Amino acid sequence: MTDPQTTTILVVDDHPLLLSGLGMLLNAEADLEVVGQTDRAASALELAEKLQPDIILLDITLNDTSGIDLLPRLLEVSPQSRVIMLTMHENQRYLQLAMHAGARGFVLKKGLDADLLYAVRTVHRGEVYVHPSMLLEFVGGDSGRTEPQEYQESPDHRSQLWHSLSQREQQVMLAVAQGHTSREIAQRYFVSDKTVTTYRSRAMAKLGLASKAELVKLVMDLGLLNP
Amino acid sequence: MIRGWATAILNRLSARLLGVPLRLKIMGMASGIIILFASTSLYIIYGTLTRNMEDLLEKEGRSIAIEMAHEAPDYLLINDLYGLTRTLKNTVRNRPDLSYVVISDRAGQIVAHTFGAGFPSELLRLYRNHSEPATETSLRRIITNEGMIWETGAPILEGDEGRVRVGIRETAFRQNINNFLNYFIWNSLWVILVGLLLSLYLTWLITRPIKDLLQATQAVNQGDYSITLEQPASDEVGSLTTAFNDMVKQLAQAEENRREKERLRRDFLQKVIASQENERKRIARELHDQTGQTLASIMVELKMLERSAKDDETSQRIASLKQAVTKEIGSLHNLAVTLRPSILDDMGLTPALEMFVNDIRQHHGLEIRLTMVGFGENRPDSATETCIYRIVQEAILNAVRHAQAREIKILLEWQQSKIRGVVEDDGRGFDPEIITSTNRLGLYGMMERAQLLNGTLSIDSEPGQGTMVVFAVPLVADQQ
Repeated sequence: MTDPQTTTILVVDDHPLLLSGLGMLLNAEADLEVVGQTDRAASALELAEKLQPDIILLDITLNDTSGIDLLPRLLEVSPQSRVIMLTMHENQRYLQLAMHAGARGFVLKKGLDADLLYAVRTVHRGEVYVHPSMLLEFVGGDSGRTEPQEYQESPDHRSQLWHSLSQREQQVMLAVAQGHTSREIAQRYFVSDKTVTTYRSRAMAKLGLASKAELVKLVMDLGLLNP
Repeated sequence: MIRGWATAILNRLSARLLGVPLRLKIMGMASGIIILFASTSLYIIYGTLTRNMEDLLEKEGRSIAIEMAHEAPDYLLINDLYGLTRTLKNTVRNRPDLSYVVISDRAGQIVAHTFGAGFPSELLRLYRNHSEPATETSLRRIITNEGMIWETGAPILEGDEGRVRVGIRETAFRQNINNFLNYFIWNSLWVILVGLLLSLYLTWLITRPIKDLLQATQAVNQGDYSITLEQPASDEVGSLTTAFNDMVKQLAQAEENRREKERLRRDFLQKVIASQENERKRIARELHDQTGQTLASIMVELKMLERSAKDDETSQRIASLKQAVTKEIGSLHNLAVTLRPSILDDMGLTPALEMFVNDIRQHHGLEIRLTMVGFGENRPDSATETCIYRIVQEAILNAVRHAQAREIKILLEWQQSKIRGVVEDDGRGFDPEIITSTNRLGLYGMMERAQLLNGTLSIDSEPGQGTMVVFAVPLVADQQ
């Protein structure tokens, strides 16, 4: 019934006004056709299975579920569909989760006018589309990238704690563990006793240690100090 | 000077005595009194007995001497020295205390005595060297190997016919006195022993309720108000016990009231905070899902309009409208996130904090580092998540707004039953004693939030030394 050249689209969004607006916008294009619209997860699954659309536009925030949770189930019933997330959330975490769940596009609602049509055509061609403002961060080129260690399952808790200390804090803590007094450490690094004391108590707090004995144990366990 | 010394010694003694347990005080008192009484009695009795003995010895000696002095002339006149000696010996034999009798003539030559074979040379020397008045009785004490001898001398016929000397042994009398003293001392010791036992019982009676009181006081100190002491007697300690029981009852009541008030306050605060968070969440969702979506649909409609625009002017106006709407969606998003990031509810603390930290980094251009240790995919209670998010947020905003920090480090550690966190900045710091109006609410808010979830929070800061906020919040927010 549809022209094979036409890209079929299923729109899942819980906002009726936007739903109709998107329908009009997309249908105005000769190569695009909205074949289904819904605001519910259950009917979205039904429609996807029945229509097997080329593209599914999926809002992250739905009334009854999260779009990210719905995504894999949609792909299950309509495997060849390509999903573009549609969201207000300008947030890396959502982007990561969505892409991980199998989305091929990520369009921000604030960029609807300029990006949507381009995104639909790009994704339909088999490429990936991510809103430019989020792309840089996503591929990891920005300094704002979060610390990789935060996501890793680290076997050693304590080593991470230790490495959260600054270079100078580590030096002071090692010196304390080796039995040097605050005064000696102060002389070695040309600072006042008081500064060393402050350094010391704050580093101990960061490591969550209550006594020097615990500190010595920690640095020995980490292999930083030979017994 | 001496008075000062005396006072000092007295004071020291009193202090020493006060330091001694009550039991020892009472026992010391009892045995002290007994010993004092016994020793003075002993002294007096010993003195009296000795005096009596000396009297007795003196009288006996004198009477025997005078009797001999009467009898002696009968023998001396006929020069019957043998008879005289026999009489003397008889006399000595009949009186066990009597040691010897010696009779001498005018010239002091010994004419009869009871020593048998040899007359002791020491005695002879004594008589030669120490003469007595010839016409009077005399008394002297001689120390011999038989013990003390009381020797009484009496003139025979007023000294014309010589002198009688009678020696009486003291030993037997002395023995009697000593026996008596021994008996007395043993008796006193027994009395002391019985006195000590009695006072031991007495102290036990007195100190037992005091010990109970002490234990009860310690228990109350630890917060155990369930104790009621049984009343042992109607003496002073008994009244103290009654007063103590009353006090504990009052304390328990006061503590109960305080807890109730505290519970109400916490309940109220928790409700306030929870409803504030809920309200923020609701408004944020509303902004996102309703207003934001509406704006997004307007954008779509504008796009359609732009397409069908007939002239440049119209499409330009539509383009600027679209720009305005885009900007509005952006600021709406920011507002919603500021109110309460939906990511906190949807995905948890880790991404929410990462987002917040990235935002601060981009907007304020400072070094900010977030380290989360041991979180993995775990999520604590949502109340705990909110609490920690707000604490970290407040600490960071304080550092940015008030402390002019250039570097902020955040460390969160997932521990067995709690999350421990540290937020440290290199800003100008402040004196924690002087909490100013600019930071008061924020700091109290952080502490209050931590305490409401049975967590802890402390702030370490000094002018010029930066600020460090250290906190720990239980994973499971048991809200009582």
